[in-house]
Amino acid sequence: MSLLLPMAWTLALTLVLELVFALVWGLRREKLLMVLLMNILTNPAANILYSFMTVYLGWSKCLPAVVLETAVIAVEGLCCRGFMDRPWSFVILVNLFSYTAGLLLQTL
Amino acid sequence: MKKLFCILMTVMLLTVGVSADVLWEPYDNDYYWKHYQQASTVAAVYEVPDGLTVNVYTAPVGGKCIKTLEEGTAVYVGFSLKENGEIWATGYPLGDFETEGWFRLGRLQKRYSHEEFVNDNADQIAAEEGWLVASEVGGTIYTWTYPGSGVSDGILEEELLSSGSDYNDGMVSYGLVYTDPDGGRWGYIGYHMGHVGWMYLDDPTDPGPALQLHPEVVNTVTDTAPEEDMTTAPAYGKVFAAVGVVIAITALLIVHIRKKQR
Repeated sequence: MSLLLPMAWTLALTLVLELVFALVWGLRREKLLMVLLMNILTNPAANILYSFMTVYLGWSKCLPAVVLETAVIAVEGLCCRGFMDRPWSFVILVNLFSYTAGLLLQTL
Repeated sequence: MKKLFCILMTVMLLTVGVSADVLWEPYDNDYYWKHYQQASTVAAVYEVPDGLTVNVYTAPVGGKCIKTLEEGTAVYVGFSLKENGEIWATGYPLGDFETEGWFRLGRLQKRYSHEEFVNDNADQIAAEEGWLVASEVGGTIYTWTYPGSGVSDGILEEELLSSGSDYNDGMVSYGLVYTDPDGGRWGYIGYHMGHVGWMYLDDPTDPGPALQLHPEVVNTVTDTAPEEDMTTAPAYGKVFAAVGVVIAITALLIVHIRKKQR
């Protein structure tokens, strides 16, 4: 239980940030739903794996962060490919936005 | 235009912050950097008391035990915080930086240190600034955790003190003076080339001043129950299984939406 609450909070925050970004990008209806679903698909898995590697195993956070973020972008790009215009540009920028916004919020 | 705005939003949010502090902090501990704002500074040396062992974990929550410290092990404690009703601290065994981690602070005994000494002997301590000229001392200067501790925590090498490039123009400054029961004088060095401690002003080069103090130590140990080699990690298996179910259901929904769109 002690891991689920932070994960849920992280997912909720990511969804808000990325849906806002998606709206500004011009996405609507099914495309917005796809943004929602692709985050539910990737975010909890990435977070639990990150926690396991860095907190439990005590690994340095750089490599897990890079590897997991790359995997997230790859999976989300595949979800969006053929579903919207410029899927890879969108996926890279939306993840960069939510990652940096998350870092900024942590410092506040 | 909208896409340009999105790009600009992303670039603007890129922040870089660097902070430096002279206090030790865990080098690469994810739990610490997520909770450092809730942590309190301790910056003191503790010991594993007789009859007890202390487990060191990667984190107070979700961590795993990386080492068990035996009785008598000295531990530097940097910071503490409360987690699940317990006080956890982060630090490392003295001389073993590789084993930095988290441990239950209630299982450790705080060593009598400079702070306690100053509190207990305030009447014999005066704020008095002075200095020793290193080239006139003519030898290695010993520094002590507190007067009469018998524990030398550092030495100021004669060669470094006398060299032309020495810090502070070759002078070792002190800001407090303690007069011991035998009339001996001790000066407190706030900082000199990384050293902090007391030096015996009457003979700074004496490797074993006669004064011996045995102050009463306040007991800080509150948890003496046997500590099992028990990981603090949650049931990762169950969490992974739950996430797996979420992934499966979400993947099916995504496939369904994509088929519908075609």
